[in-house]
Amino acid sequence: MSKRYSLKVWCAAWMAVMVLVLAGCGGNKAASGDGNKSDKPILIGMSTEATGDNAMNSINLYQGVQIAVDQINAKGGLHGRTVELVVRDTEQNPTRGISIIRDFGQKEGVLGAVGGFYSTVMLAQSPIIMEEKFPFVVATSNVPASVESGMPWTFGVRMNANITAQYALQFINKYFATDKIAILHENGGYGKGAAAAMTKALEEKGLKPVAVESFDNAKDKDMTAQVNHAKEAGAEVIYLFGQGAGNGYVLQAMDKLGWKVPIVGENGMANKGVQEVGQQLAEGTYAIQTANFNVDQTREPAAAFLKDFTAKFGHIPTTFASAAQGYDGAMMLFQAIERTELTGNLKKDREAVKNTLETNLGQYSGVIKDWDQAFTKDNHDAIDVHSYLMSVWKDGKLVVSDKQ
Amino acid sequence: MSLILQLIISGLAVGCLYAVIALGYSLTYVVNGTLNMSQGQLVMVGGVLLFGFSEHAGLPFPLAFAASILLVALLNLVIERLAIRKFDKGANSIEWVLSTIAVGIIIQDVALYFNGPDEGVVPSPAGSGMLRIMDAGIYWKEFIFFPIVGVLLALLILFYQKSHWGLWLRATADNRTAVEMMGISSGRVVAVAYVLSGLLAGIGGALMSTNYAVSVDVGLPLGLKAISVAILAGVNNPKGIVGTGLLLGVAEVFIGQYISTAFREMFVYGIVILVLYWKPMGLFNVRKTVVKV
Repeated sequence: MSKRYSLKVWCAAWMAVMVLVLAGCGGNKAASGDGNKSDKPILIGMSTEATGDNAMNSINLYQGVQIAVDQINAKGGLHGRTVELVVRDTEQNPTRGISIIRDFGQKEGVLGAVGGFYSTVMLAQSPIIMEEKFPFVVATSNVPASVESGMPWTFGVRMNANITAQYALQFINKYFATDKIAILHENGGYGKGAAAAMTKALEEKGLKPVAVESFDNAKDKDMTAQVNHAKEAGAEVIYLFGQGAGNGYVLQAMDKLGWKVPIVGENGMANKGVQEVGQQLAEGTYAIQTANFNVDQTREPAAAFLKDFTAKFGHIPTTFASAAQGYDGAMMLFQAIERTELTGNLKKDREAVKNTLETNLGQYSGVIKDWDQAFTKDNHDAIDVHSYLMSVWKDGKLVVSDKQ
Repeated sequence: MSLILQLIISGLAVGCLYAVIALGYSLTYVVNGTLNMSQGQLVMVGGVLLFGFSEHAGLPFPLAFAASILLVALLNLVIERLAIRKFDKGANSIEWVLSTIAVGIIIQDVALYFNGPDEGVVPSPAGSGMLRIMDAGIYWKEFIFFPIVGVLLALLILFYQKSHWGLWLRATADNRTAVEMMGISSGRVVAVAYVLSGLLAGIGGALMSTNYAVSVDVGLPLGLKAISVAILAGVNNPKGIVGTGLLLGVAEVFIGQYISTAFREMFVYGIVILVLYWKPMGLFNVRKTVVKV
């Protein structure tokens, strides 16, 4: 054997060894979805906003998911394997949100994920989830397009803006007997989604909002112009979709202009910032929710959730709907995983979990309500008009409204 | 008429905040040509500290207020030592831009760690009552911004005109070498400017927290708005800065009312750029390194 030939053989052998080593590494990386007999944890992605002006509310979603993980692990996990969250902060940055989904899909190898608080980020993440092909539960973001519009991998346990607008319009017609609605919204995905949905709901009745005004939730501190436009347009109800303090500044501007009309909002009207800024002005304003933890819990799963939540975090949730939806969304994903035969092939397992969610999730009894089959192939939104619970600020507390 | 008045007083209240924060930029820029890019985050720290001392620690408001602004002033002295002095190497140095931006990010992250993402408002000693002027409304807790800004401006002018430190500060702004030759430590003068700038940031943040919600992320947008005010006015003119801050606050509200609420920021910054085309050194600037009092 010549020296040159020997060198070639050694090089080829070395390369073959390296290829095998690399293949081995790749195989390990994709191991989170390996079969039922594996003892490795099942990885679940958690995309959250831990920084930014939405962090105070977003943390409720994350905490709700943590309770679900604790409860599942206390019962022995899924297929005998513990569940582990891979937590990432989007920093309210859509670009970062996208790279988190890429990481979940390719690097971390999660079997599924939960998240979707901040709508602007969620809108950017949705098409990437479609490319990465793993089931993702959207547990707060209201923008219809993040789950609808041919998105096979996203599942909403959230208040879809279109459904919320239908519910809110019925509520406004029933209790305030008016269609003169002004929409004041923050200029991100959350507010724009709500404004488009209410406009659509009114248009279906041959009407339109008397005014549509936007504001920057992070920057604008004076809402005189927006409120005055609504007032001059003859609005008799304000549909308010800012976040916390931003909504409080709207209440202050109404107070300065000596103008008072009913206010109906959603999660953004439910958080502490409204009270901090608006104080007594927040009294009597409405927040559409899917749960309320300031009252006795009559549902057994809700009582158990609240007990565990309070024990772990030392307080009740501060944004009820996000905490409840985060918990129920995670539990539905876990139930789907439990009902799926895992093969160890991550790609196939993700597809199988998605199919289970759509066709074989079965009965689920959650914090919000009982579902027979929460999702179908054509409907990926679990929350419908019957899931809503109108809440109202009373004596500094958000309680269940008499008006439902 | 009452609407016009409402727009004016609403804009002036926000403008007062811009003015106080912008004065902080001015103090440091005139003395050594540096702008503390973490000024907005210092404002946030002032507000968050006041909220913590007042609401969580239960300190009386005056004590909480004093402790907050003194701590922010001290923090700015540390920033001057660690992130400015080392990097300020003369007229062409820009390293301090990066170092102070980095400090701002660190401050925000540390504040998030200790304070969490909560937003809070400190009850103002002025109460939550409303002052009505010809049907236009302003809360007393906002109204007191006006005299406070007036007093701060007067004190700053008196400091520049009547105190040794003020004289040295103006002299350092004019000719640092000559100041050194007279036996005055220009480094100490710069440090004093940073302490005063920190005091103003602390006062701005504390004032803000009595009417607007403070959370750890409010600093950056406010800092950017205030730096626009400082540059638009001409960084060396405190009276001009206060006037421009008030003007910008009012302009924002009028643009929102009569042009567009959705594109308010775009119009505001468009006007800033147009004015700088017309007066590149700012509206009230005479000569770059002289403090005009």
